[in-house]
Amino acid sequence: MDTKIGLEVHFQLNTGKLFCRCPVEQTQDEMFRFRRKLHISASELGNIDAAASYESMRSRSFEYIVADNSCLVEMDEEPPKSPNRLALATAIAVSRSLGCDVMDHITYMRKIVIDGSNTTGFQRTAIVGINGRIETSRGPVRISTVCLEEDAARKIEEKNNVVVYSLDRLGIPLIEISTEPDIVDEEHAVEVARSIGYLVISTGNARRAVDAVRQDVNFSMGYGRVEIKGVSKLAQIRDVIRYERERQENLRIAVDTIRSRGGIDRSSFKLKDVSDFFSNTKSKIIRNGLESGRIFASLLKNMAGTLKNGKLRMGKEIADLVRSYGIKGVMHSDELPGYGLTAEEVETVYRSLGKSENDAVLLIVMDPARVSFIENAIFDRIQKIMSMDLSETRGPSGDETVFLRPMPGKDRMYPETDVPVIEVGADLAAMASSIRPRTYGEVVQDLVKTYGISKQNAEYIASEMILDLFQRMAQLIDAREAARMITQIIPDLERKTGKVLDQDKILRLCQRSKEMQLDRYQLEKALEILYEKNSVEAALSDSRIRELSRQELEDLISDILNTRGDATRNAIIALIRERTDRVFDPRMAMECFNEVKNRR
Amino acid sequence: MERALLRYRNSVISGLIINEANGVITVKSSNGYNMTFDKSEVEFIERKREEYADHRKIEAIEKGQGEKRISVLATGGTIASRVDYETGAVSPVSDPELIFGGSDILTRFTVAVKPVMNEFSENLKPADWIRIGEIVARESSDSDGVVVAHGTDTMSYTSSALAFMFEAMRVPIIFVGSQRSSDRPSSDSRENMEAAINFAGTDIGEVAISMHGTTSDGRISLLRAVRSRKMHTSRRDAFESIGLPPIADYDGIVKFMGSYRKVSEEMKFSPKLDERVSLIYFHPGLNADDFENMISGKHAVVIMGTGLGHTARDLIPVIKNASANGTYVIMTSQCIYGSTGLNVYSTGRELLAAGAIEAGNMVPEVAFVKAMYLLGQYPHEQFRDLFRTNMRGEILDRDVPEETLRISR
Repeated sequence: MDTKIGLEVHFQLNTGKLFCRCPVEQTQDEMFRFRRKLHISASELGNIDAAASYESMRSRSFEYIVADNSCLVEMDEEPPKSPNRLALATAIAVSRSLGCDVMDHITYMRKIVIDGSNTTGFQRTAIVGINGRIETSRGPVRISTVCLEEDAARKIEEKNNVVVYSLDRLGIPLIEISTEPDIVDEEHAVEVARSIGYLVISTGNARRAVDAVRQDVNFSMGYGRVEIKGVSKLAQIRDVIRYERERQENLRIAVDTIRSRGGIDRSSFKLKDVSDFFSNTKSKIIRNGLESGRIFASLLKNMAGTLKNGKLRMGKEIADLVRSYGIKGVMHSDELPGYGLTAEEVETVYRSLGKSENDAVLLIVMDPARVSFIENAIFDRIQKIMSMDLSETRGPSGDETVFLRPMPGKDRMYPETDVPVIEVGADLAAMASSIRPRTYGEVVQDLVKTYGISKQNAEYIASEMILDLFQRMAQLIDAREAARMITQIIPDLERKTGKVLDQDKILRLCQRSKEMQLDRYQLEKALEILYEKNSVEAALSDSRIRELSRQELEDLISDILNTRGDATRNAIIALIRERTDRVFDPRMAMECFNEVKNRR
Repeated sequence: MERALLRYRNSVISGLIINEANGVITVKSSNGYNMTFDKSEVEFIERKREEYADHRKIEAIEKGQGEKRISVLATGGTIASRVDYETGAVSPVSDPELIFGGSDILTRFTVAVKPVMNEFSENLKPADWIRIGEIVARESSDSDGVVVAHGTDTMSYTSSALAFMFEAMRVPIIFVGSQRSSDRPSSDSRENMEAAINFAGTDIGEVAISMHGTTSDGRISLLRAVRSRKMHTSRRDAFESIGLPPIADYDGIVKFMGSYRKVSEEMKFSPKLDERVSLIYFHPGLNADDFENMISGKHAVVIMGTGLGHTARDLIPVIKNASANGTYVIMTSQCIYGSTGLNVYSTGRELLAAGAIEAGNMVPEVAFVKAMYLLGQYPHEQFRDLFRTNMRGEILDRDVPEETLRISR
């Protein structure tokens, strides 16, 4: 069966929010919080899609943190304002650059989303362009739609059935570009994402922030379509596709194994309360579990050795599902004894369930009230996997993917009656014409010509999609120094510290450095300290960026030569660094070394 | 409805034709999106008719196993809606099981939903208030509580009218509305309605409004109709009872917070209103002739004056004249919060001398409804006395500071 890969690439715009006049960035943290629930009325449950009813079954409530870049619109306390014109024009420009048929009218829809990430319970979205294509090294990839939608609220945390979101991100314009499943493999997927990225980012209207670009990957190898939502980095696209292919191949093997033994059996899958077997257990996880709930166990007919055994990991499929209902304590026979349980305790449970060699056993610590619901949910999932229908929505987790929810159905949109249909008139079309998206080649060429930086650096800047950051930095500091920072120093610091700084912080540092007339050594030191202290002002007031004067250097070198008379010209820089963490100009240090040496 | 296959530039689109008017056509495409085109830009490859059921009618339905029977009257504020994702059509739902599925309402109550009218509340007239009152009176004879689902725009007027018309009531009369339409997952209608049914199951003998107490879900407030006012165009907690804390809150259970009138053995319903009353918003430059025209032929006029209850000096002779000719002129304040005080400035004293009646801290719209009720129900000689008499809790004896009200919550 052929692998089919499609992408949905999302870009936040920096034009101001889509349906209100709030800015995209927040300047202060939390203003206050409020709580809501979302309902899909029972009248709709009959034909509501699987994803929506799954969410409503979780009966969660949502807490929203109001940020200073949000207003009553984000709170769902006021109807939306007319869509941001610049955002519309940008989406039109991008659609044109992808060869789309641009709509002559833009019609907003409400797409039902009840995970709480939209205070309304729906996302506003409209098609701007259809039926485009992008050329790639492996042939053209068709673009099905270009949409302009509102971004969702940012999830902060989830605790006891309450999900906390921040409204700072809600309503930021999001250009969504969806491809047809024409992508052949993971490398190709990265190329396509990157090519689309140049077009959008080169408009200058894309937002610069850590999560400003997010991809959804649609993957199928014949076992149903899996949608992997929210992949933020290009390299991660490659990783999750590889992982997903392997996961599905291994599930195929696990399923074949179970089938060859006679398959699964609903009647033997019954979660029984086995808490009494553990009254004297030393297992911490079980003892903690018994404080708030009970221990349940069930047979998994014919599933021994498929739950966690080499590459076979059916256990994770079950655990991911159960975890999505907020239940953490899942154990199974492929990893037992373990978790502090003794072989004897485990055997007692196995015996009580009538486990035979081919059977596996599942143990879950949970609230007894939810047993029958969870039992059904688990069995449904196993049954679905057994039929090799692997379609679902998953999310990235490092270079792996995890179950998020069932695949949403199609019929969950209805018109946004609060936003009138927008006619793409002459003024909007003209505004779009003034925005000119460029390709990779054009971007590189421009950079070399405009800034006099090397082609290699220009390619790096273009391919990492940090064009905007570079251009802004080049306004503040020397362009070649900016290129050096972006291509070498920042990636080095990110590797060393494991931290990714907000681009605005780096720009603010450059701005202040310009005002304070710092030289490149001081700026680089300040950047290093910024990664350590996270605050621009703290970095700039740090004593380490105070540059050593000629006199101080000479004193230091004399001092070094007093103890290490044999110190050579080549070693002196390292020796100075050993004695001070302040900045200095290495060329000046060399000069001083020569002078001190001559004086002696 | 029609299904169409059409060409737009280089694209072929198939879908359901949702709308075709004024030179544009909207198609619900197979990917779920509506797309709108200039008709001149599209070429139809195929069009064919398709049968489609219309659910737009709301029916009377009764469901539930609870001992207490609650009547829910639908006047146009939709209780619940169903969205047809195929056509985008939003249609009302009256089946209580569909509305309350998943909650314990139907095990605790028997809910009977009845359509009364289907009108945006801004279209309602005093005659509709009477009609609603009569149906409520009828329903209250064989139920334990009546809930009136009503558009929020004029809910304070209708509920106040019922409050005056029902001098005594056998069962609670609870108005409920919503600020987010019920087709949305975030709608406040479900919680407001759930609370309204619970409030209707108590022994409160007043007309009151059940709406969100805060922007958060989870706490619904019960407000005395004759102190209530819609104070925000769009927020969930738009309704306030002016200068008075809510009578009760519902957060899963009903919690009464202050004293309230209890239901009576017998109902006393007097459905007569004099419609020749108007409510006038004074503004700088309001011309005396225009003002005179506006009040001509009225039996009473309620003026929303500035500050403590003032109008421009040049209107005073008109007021004096009207008063002398038997029109009652009532002064309220645009400030909403606080009382009128016509003895403080000379303008106020002149208004009093011209015959104006002070509404005190009565909410202007309530003063307006009260005037209609008094003129319809009582001899005109009693108007002045009764207007200043607290009949249904519409007048506050004390103007307690907001700060104190907040602490006592």
